[in-house]
Amino acid sequence: MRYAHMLLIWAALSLATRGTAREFRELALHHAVRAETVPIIDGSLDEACWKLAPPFSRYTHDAGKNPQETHIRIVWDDRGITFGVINMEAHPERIRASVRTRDGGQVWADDSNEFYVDPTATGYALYKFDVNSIGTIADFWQPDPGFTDHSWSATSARAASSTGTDAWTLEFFVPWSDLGVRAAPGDLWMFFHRRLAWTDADGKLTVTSSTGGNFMERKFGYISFTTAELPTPEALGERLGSAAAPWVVPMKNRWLWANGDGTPRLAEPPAVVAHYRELAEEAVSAAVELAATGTGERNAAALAELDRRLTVADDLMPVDAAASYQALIREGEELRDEIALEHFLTNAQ
Amino acid sequence: MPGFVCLRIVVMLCLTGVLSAQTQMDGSRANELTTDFVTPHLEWVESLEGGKLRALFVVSLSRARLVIEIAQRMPLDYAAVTTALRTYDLAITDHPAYDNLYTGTSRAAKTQELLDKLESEYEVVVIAGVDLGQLPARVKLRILERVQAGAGLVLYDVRGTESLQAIFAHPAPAGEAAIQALAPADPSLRAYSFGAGRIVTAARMNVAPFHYDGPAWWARFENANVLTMRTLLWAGGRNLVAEAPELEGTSARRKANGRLRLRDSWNAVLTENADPVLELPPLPTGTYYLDLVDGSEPGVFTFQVDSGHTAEVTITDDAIDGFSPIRPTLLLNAPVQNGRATVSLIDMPYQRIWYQREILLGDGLEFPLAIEEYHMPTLAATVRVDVHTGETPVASASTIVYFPWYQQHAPLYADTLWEYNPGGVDRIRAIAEYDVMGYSGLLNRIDGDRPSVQTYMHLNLRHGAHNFGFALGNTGIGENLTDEEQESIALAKEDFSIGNPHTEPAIRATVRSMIRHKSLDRYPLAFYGLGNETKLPYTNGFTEADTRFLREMLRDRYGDIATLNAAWGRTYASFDEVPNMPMEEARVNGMYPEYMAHRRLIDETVRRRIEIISDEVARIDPHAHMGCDGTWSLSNDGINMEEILANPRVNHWEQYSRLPRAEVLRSLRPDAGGFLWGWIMANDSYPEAPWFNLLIGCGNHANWFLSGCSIGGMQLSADYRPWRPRMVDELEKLRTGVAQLLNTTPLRGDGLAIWESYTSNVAGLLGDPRLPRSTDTSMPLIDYCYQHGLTFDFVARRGMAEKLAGYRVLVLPGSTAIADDEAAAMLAFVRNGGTLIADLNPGILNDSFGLLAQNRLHELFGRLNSEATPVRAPLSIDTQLNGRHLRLRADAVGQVPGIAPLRVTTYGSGEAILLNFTLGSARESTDAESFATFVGELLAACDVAPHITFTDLPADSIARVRQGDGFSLIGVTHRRLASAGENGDTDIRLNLPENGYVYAVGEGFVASADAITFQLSPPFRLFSVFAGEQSAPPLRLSTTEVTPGMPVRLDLRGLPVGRVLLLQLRDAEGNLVRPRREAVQHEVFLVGDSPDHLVHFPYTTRPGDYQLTLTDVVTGLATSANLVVRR
Repeated sequence: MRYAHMLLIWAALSLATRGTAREFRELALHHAVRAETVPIIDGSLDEACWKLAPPFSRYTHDAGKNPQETHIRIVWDDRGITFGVINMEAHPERIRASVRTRDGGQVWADDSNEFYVDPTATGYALYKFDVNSIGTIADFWQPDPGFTDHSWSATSARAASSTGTDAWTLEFFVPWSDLGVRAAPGDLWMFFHRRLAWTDADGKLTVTSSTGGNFMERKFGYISFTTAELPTPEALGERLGSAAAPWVVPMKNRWLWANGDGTPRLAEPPAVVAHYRELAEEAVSAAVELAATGTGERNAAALAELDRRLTVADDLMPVDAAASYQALIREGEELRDEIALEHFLTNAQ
Repeated sequence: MPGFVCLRIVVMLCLTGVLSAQTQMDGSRANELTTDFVTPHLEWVESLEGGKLRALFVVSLSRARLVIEIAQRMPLDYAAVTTALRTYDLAITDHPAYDNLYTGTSRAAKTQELLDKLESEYEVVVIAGVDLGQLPARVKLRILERVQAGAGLVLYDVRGTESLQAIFAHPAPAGEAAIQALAPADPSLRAYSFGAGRIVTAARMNVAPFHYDGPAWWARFENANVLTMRTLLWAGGRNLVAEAPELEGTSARRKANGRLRLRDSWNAVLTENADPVLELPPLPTGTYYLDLVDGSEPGVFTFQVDSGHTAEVTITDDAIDGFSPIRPTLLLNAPVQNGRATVSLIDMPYQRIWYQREILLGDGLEFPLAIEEYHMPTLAATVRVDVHTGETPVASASTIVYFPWYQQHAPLYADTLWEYNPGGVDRIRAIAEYDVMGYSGLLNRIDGDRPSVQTYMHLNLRHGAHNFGFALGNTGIGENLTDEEQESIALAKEDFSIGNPHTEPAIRATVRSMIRHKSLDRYPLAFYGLGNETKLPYTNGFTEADTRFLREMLRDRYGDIATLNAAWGRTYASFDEVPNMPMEEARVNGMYPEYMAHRRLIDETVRRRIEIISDEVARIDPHAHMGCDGTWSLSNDGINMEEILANPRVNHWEQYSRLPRAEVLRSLRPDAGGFLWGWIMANDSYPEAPWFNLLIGCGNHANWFLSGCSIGGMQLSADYRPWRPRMVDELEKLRTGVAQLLNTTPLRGDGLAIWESYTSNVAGLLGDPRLPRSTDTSMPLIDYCYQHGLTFDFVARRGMAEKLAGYRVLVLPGSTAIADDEAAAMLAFVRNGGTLIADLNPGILNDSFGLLAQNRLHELFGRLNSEATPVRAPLSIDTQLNGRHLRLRADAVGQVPGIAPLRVTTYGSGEAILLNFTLGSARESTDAESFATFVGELLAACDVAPHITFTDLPADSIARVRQGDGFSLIGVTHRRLASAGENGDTDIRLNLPENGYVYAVGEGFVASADAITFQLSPPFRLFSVFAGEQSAPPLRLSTTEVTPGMPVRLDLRGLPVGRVLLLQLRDAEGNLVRPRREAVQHEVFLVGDSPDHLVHFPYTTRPGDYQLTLTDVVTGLATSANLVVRR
């Protein structure tokens, strides 16, 4: 019975991993929980509703360093959506806060949080809010990638913050009326959260991003709107079926993931990773076999590099390993094509 | 159990086939070429032996139109894969996560498209403007396999060929010769053989000049297309064997099949036939082309004719002042017996003849000419002289003249494109973008190698300069600086403080240099935009000269140190002790006067720079239109706009500003035009920005540019109408009368003023809770006015006392810093019957930011405790005022403890109302309806109420009411709907104060009623209301029988002065025949003092039936008449 399960899973994986050229990525998944008691925007997350909202803490550093510890919770009510962010900070005395006017300057040059909210979940129509550590808001609306309306403002949005000995806390509310849309349980919005900090010893910028990437690549995650009861993985899988695959949402002991065909699945991480590794090996081997029919130092070096990266990927965390193997599949195929072209040109002479 | 769940889900989801469907935008417009838009061209090949040439183009978007140009001229069975605009990339858009936002535009999608198309058998693959390094190896291999098997490959401007050198091993000089035997030569062209196939490389796909430089451009463009056609045919394996025709005396003998066609250098076809011999007409000296048409291959043979006579037309000054006579000189190399000359004035680029006279030539060689009493509608024209002996032409010559005067007389409304850079098919693009779309000009920078003003004048495009700034030693201008100027710039560069004595001469030298660089003294710009790059960060200003300048400013302001100390609350011993402090340091330490002093230093520096630039430009070009940017992005709320706009040389303003700055601009300089700068839009949106700005009166011209990732709009189809489905018709409505009507109809005065205070605005930036931001009250008030069609104006310090006489109410938003004289004007206003409404803590500071022991206006608002900090507390107002019931309840509103939420004081004949909160704070914590009711009742209690009302007007709508001569103009828009490209679908009722005749502007009669119902579909509606019924304007013409060259006179007597009229001429097919961007006589005009209006017909007018329609824009009522044009 166990063997039969494995065969079925393997068949599904094989089907799913063909023909994808897209980048494998980890989706940041946030649960926005309906608040029965409306939070007061005072920079303190002490209302009962905040305890119901699960925190999201999987952040990355844009430059590959350790991210700054950050926790975001999201709640919603009849009036709008509220974000609560705890920005852990070892040096609160270094927090920058210079912009005090709404849309009045470079809020990002202060210690701040950026919220990219895309109610259409299209990946290109979004509202962006920068909020600094004294609650100054700058925002714009981008209905499509070529048009950014900086004159737009969420006129009724409000923010408040408080600073403690080891963290600063931001509470940021945006009413539905400003977003022109009202969320309901079961809705899925695209979302990306980023923290900008200037508190290191050199006063340089530290960027901490929710998993998935940064603004320019727009590898946004999602906000899943729920009642107080969180959805099951199966229900989440159905909702996320429209996300551009391949993606993965790490969960306890399992992955909710989808490959190129976009079909959401639950699987144990080792099975997924092993499958990718096998495909990567096949792609590299095919290039090696073709290279063996000709000569060329460049090819040898490139092949050796692919081989080295296969080994390196073995030591990565599962999500990163799967992404690396997927990249190697594509690069292996491209190198095989390069070798074929070289052979053609050599023979043509 | 988890394993079971896992399996169940895998199987279930696989079976149900949940699909990945990340939403993408339609990219088809970027991936497909269209032949829908036909540009002027000659016919070359009707059918080819062997059938249509089967070609696959891999072409960058910037060159894609050239594919269509070829397809218009020869039988071509083509497919195209389009690539990035200018970057040599394969992908048009790049978006790794979602496989691109636009379908089919990613690298992966383009690769697949190429591989799919390479499955078909093409005779030739043409790659233009692509880096081969961007082509996947699999694609390159597939192409080369095709070539090796016999297909052709043409590489135009292709990078990355180094790794493919093997394919260039076998040059084919015979191929190069065959291609260029009957086409203009291209020195970069190389031919090769590869296996059974052929390869050609060349630097450019089209060797015609980039810039349209005059009438001869058309012939060069035709000839360049012949070269391209021959290149493709040879590479595709078609043999080029035709021989050049033989010239024998006055005839040409064809040595290939097809027919011969004779063209002159202006691309005019002089004669053609299919006989073996083509008799040539008498030809004046010049260059001619014999075309091989409809044969086995296209070809062009260039030859020269020398009649023994040559002519030259010279002119001392080619920049014509207004309509003054044009005085060229005709120079001949030899006397012409029985000579005569035809002098023509031909517009550019349409080549219509507007003036034609014949003169007799005597025995001389030099003949001064005078072209007088002419009509010329374009910015540049050609003076052409054709010299004859008897009836025989012997010589022809021309010169270009410019009409810079036109540049500076803009129409009532101009919409232009941003930064039009003429490219390879410049004239073709110009036709599409400007003639078809109706734009009046363009905005571009003028530095460096950017095209000259004349380049654009050739295309009849008004050129306005963006960022006519003063960056010292700007690139491209250094060569014309004198030694003295260079020295002053070098010295100023060391310290660019306005306090440095070298700075002003350096700025002036730079301005002069820029003007010389582009000959702007002869060919002036339509307008000089001084640009938002004039801003200075407030963290600047700490050089020695800056500090010296600051102290001089303080000495001028206060006279002596004791006065400064009194105003600031300080004890400085002298001005030299006053610190020039970083503003943040001053703010944090509560040193507000020092903060304000530095702020004034920077703002004054900016103002002074603008003053110097504008003064220097005006010295050279007294008629220059100069515009100052409305807002500086980093100091939006605090800029000293009033002082900058006090400069009389700034006669238009440029705003891409936020509110309320745009409304401040409108209010402070109602005499100046506004230009909406840099408006961009989403693909499917309506023209929200011009709608909004025109409606509120903040921008009466619009400039815009495309959006949509890196996809260029025009190159594919040369017609971007498909790209902007909701924009094109609406922009056309604007420019055919609606915008002009809005621009010339003043806003209705409702008696409401808002105080614009530079000092209070800055105080609000300090972050001190005692000092609220002015926008905390002004913006909620503006939102209310927009929603209810209530007009307001901002009033600032200059001329305040006189201006206030025109208002019943003055609102002081966040007006914490008030000067003595300002307080006096306010007191007088109230004493004389006005009402003053203030929010938190009015006048607790003086205008130096010194805290006052006794607040200003205490006579009106009582003594305020400037030390008290507002706290959030419940707010409750329930009172009567002047017969109105004011009621407001809110949860948590910032208020100063111990002060009533609303306090009314009677003073003289007027009243003062103190709100112990900002409107913004109240709006945040109560419901929208209660808040609006409170504001409405408060204003009504002060005798300010809207002229009209709406029922069920959607939230965030903007309504404006204007008052014309005998009519009201009521407009409504909704920015969000417009931006999203959506229509309102609910009924809105417009309630009028009394019964009236209602017309939809530009469209016609709606109803005779005291109310109408409409929808925001489209989300911009404009109605006029008259007391009586209106009739269509009379169309009284001097004749309906038109002789080309003779104007028709339209009698305007009896029409109200100032009425906006639209006059359109259509041909028998119903097409508009007048290019709509004519510089002098626009199709939209105002009834003025003149009793008539001339309708001009050039000598080149095609005979036939025409229809002239006169529309009274405000009512939309029109009258038409038929005209017959006879030869």
